[in-house]
Amino acid sequence: MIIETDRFGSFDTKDSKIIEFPIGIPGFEDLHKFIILEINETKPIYWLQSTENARIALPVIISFEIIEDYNIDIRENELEELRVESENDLLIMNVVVIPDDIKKMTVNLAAPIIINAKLGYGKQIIIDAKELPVRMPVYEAVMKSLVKGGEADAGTVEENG
Amino acid sequence: MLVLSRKTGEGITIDQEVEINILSIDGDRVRVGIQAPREIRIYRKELLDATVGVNRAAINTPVIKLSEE
Repeated sequence: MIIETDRFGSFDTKDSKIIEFPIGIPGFEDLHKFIILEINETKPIYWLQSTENARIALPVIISFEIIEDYNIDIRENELEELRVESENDLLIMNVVVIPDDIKKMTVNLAAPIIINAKLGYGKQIIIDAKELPVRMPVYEAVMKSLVKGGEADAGTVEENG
Repeated sequence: MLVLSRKTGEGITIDQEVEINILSIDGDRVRVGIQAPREIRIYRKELLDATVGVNRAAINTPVIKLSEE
């Protein structure tokens, strides 16, 4: 299926799995289908692009790539809801807000988007914890990972919890 | 919306699954205790409102270029 996007032109979705968000995401409850776009120029920021509304693309980061010690508790029923059978299928992303002054970009750590990357189900959950701010400055961490990204072995993933 | 009036020490149950107790009242500050099954996530409403705000702000990202490729 070819989808149109305002930001990136048109894409053939055959390359990317459609992620279904049964209850949408907060602020966009009526949108249920997204794909993850990897755009070279904006890495390590990815885009959660709606396939139903060309205008809606949320910039996201893969938390464990950028945020040190990002520990969240995902509950059994949430994994079941997304039909996650193996932790390896789980992808956790966080929405970033990028203002005109890019150095002021922030990430929402309180509301991770958890995705079953294998079967294509997603949900944004909200965790009320002091150490998880909604707007945490993240520019430096993003730039640091950009430098590191060149050297790092993509196969090395440390699992938390 | 159902509106109930409660005093300190009184509570409300929802479907016998969730229990909400008024622990103390001090001026306009009410301490509320909530007992619910683990699968029910409980968070302050402003966190949901803030997340809606963040998600809506996120789609207005200007054109950015981070990597050199």
